[in-house]
Amino acid sequence: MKIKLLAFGIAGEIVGSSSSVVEIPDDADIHFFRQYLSEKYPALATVLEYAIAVNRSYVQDNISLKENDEIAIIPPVSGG
Amino acid sequence: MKTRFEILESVLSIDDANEWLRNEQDGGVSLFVGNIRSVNKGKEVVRIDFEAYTEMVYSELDKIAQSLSIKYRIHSVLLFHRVGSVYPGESAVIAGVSAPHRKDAFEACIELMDELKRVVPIWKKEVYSDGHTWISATP
Repeated sequence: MKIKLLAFGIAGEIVGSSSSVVEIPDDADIHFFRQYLSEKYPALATVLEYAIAVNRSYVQDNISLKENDEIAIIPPVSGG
Repeated sequence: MKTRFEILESVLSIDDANEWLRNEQDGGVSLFVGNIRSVNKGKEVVRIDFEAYTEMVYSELDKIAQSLSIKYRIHSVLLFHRVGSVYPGESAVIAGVSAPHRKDAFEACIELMDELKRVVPIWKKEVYSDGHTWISATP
């Protein structure tokens, strides 16, 4: 299935684009997706700890994904 | 309770914030303005580039405002935040709360800023003459 991947801050620099479409297995969950990211982008491990948001809400690793979900890599935030 | 949240590429207006927050029910408006420092941790800062996941910024701010309204007696919550390049001396953020009494206004405004820095998806890249750093990003 296809999902939309958003990468912000330093994650955008590592992934190389702020928005892309990614093909992943139909039964993928967030845990799988984190493994996929660390294999494809080893430099993400240098990011302290990133959160994942699905469709604009923070989620835990056991959440499963659906076609056309918007998944965002959220490095430690630093607004203000 | 009413809320107003804006992600802006233009200069932030403290007068606009104050006028929007001021009302006849509330004896106090607490406003915080966060400005860009020219030196951070000994390094001269040329500018800060802010990036935001705008749609999620608004939904997270809604959740924060709801939680503040349960904890404190307040009537309005405002947050303006810049994106793009912001230069030393300019304002990056204005946070404001109105409440019948000052203690609720002060404390809710502090918590609004603390929560902004903890969960709201905005990132700052400090730009120096010889490079840049994403703040909080790396160990």
